[in-house]
Parts: sequence; structure tokens; C-alpha cells
Amino acid sequence: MAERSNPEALDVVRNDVERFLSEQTGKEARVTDARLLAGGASQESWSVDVVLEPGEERLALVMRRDMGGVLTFATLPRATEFAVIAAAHAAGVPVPRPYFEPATIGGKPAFFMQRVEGEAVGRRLVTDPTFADARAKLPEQMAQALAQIHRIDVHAAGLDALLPAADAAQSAIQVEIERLYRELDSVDEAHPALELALRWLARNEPSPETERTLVHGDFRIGNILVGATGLNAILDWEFARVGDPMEDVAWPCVRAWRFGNDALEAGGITDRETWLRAYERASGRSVDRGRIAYLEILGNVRWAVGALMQARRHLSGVEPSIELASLGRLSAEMEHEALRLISERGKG
Amino acid sequence: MSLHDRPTVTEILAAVRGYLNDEVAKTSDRRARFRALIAANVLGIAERELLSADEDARFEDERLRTLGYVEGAAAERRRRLCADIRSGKFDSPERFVAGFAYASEMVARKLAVSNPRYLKR
Repeated sequence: MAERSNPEALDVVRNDVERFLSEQTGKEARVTDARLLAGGASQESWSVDVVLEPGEERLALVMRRDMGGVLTFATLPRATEFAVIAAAHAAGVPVPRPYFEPATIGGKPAFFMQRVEGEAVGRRLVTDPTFADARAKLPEQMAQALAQIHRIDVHAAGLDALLPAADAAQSAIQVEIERLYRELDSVDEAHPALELALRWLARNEPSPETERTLVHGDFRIGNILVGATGLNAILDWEFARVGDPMEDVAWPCVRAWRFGNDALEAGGITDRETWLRAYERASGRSVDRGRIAYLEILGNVRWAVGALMQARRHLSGVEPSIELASLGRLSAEMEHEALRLISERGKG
Repeated sequence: MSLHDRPTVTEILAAVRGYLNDEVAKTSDRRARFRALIAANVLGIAERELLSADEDARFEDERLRTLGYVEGAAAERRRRLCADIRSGKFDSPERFVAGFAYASEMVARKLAVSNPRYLKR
């Protein structure tokens, strides 16, 4: 249990997990191992091993639990994230199987899901030779999974009452731009580059979306578990919403999500056209390349603001973390990329 | 020169950065190692910022003047600029180009401190 959490916190977690799982299973649940996993800037993810007694049944679980502070104004409550994962699981999307029902662990909202094997660290996935075969399969697999997500009947799955959605009077892009202004104001720093980019986005908005679907909201390398044969599971559903499916198609093209492999514009694993065509084949939709280019700029602004918001969680004292603090200085990279893309569009 | 003895502030930061990179990161588990490397990286940012602070301030002051923001502290002028961009005062093609040039130069300065390698990629 090599973890930074103090032993008391770990005891609280262990006791609460055992109590909750005993209630849920009608057996005596004993935690044999509980570890906070690396990564995770917005939620804690715990690896939890459980034995159910009497008997020998063992559960290998991941517990997702709230951390302090709000990541952005778009994050879902854990119980809603659980419902979205359950709907995706029922629809056959590769996600970890959700277990039980939403819980409260150590006073914080949490839920449990199956522990799926695989690598999620972006930098490794785009460069490590171990994943060469997986990388070759991923564009097709990601496109199919994303098309499946976008086919989920939000109403039938009971998600329409739970998820944020644009009202009919506003386009999904207008809603997003307004949210980014609110978040930028909450950070209370002067960012001329982001102001210019947001102004440009507002004045160059493409036509409103032609359909609204379930949107994963953070679909990219880094949020999927990858094994030797490619995609194992899609994680991190806390930004799910009802919106323009093209936002999910454009998001992996944002430069930060290439993890240094800049030349392969789709997630650092393939070129943009290969990715867009794979999605077109899988979904039956045709993808407007100009819209993707616009959403890529919006995506850069979104992550620039998101990084500022994350740094605030450290600076406010809510969640002291050197990792969160460092993100404040990352946002200049997305500012630079947003301005570069806008200036390229100007030439075109 | 500071009235304080050596090591200077930047020398102290460099020494701690070396300790994090060469000792902590090499003897820790994966998670602690990850954090030590982040800590070393942000100390590098602090070192570069201290070295370029005076020049950055002169540069920004001059560029804000060029845009017409003359009165007040730089931070306050920067805020006025942001409010003006948002209210549409930079919508005309000429003003947009001027604002864009300012923002691009400032972002390049920030990157020279936060991640100099990014601009070379």
C-alpha cells in the first residue's frame, strides 16, 4: 500500500468499502488490498481487491471517488457518471462493467466498476514499441466505439433527465463558449490570447449542429485502456453530455492529446484523414472537415481553460498537488496552438 | 547583487531541481518519481522566469503602450485589454491583427519560460 494517503484515511476507505460491499452482496466483504492509482486529476481512482465470505469469490474493482474542488463547471456527479457507464455497458460499448449502485465512501460520492487491464498513459501508448500492434488497430476500434456511443438512445436510457444539454434556442457551440467564459471569469486572470480566441470562435461559429447525441466529452488517448490487441475499455465519463457528436470526433485531434507525437494529428497514433474516415465508416455520418478544424480550436481553448481551472484547485488549497499546480503553466501551450490554428484559417 | 550570500535564489532552485531529478526521482516508486519530475520541471520554470523577469516586464509594457494602454500598472492594463477584446473593441480587422500580434508575442514569452522546447517542436 505504497500511498501518500495517511493511514487513517485509508482505514476510513477500507471500512466504508467493506460496509458498502457487505450490504450490496449480502456477504462479508473483506478488503485485501486498496491502492490509490497513479494519474487522475479530477477523480480519485482506487484499485480495490475484495474477498466475499463465506466462499472464495474475489472481486477486482476500481473505485472512482470525488476529490476536493470542482474540475470545471461541466463535471458530472459520480452517480450520474455511473448511470452513463451503465447505459454504455448495456449498449455494448467497451467500458468497465459497473457494479452495484452509487456509494458514499469516506464521506465522498463514489462508485465501483470492474478493473480492466491495460495501459492508459498517453506518452507510452504513442511511443512504446510494445503497443505498435495496438496502435495499428486503435483508430478503427476507437471509431467503432465512438459511433456506438453516439448511437445510444439517450431518452430510452433515461439519461436525458440526468445530463446537461443545450436548450433548443442555443447551439451546442454557443453553450460551450458561454461556459468557457464563465470558467475563465472564475479563474480571474487576464488572458488576452484566450479572449481573442473566444471572440474569434464566437464570430466564426459554423452552422448549428444537425443532431444531438450522447457525447463522451473527453474521448481521447489517455482516457482509454489499451492492451496488446488494442482498445480494452473507455474510461473517464465525467464530462458526458448531450451535444454535437462532432465534438468527440475533433477532441482527439487537439495537439495536447498527441502526447508529443505531433505529426500524427489524431491522438498521436494516426493521421487525421484516417481517423475521420474510420469514424465516417463506423457511424454512417459524413464529417465536415471545416467543422472539425473549428472544433479543434475550440478544444484547445477548452483545455487551456481546463488547465487553469485545475491549477486553481491547488492554489485555492482545496486539493494541494504539485501536479495540479504545474497545469497552470501548461495552458500557454494550448493558447499558442489556438492562435496558430486561427492564423492558419485566416490564410485559407 | 543581493545583500544575501550565495547560493543565489536561482542557484538554490537549480540545486533543488538537481536533487529532485538525480536523487528523489531515481530512488522512488512510480508515483513519487512522477511527482518529483513535475516538481523539478516547475523549479526550472521558476529559474527561467527569474532570469527573464525584467526583460519580460519591459517588453510587455512597451507592447501594451503600442496598443494604446499607457496608464496604470501592467496587470491592470492587461485586464482592460481583455475587457476591451470581449466587448468587441478588437473586432475590426486592423485591431484584431494588432491584438493578435500582442497575444502571440506574450504567449511566446510565456512558453520561453514554461516550456522552451515546445516552440522548437
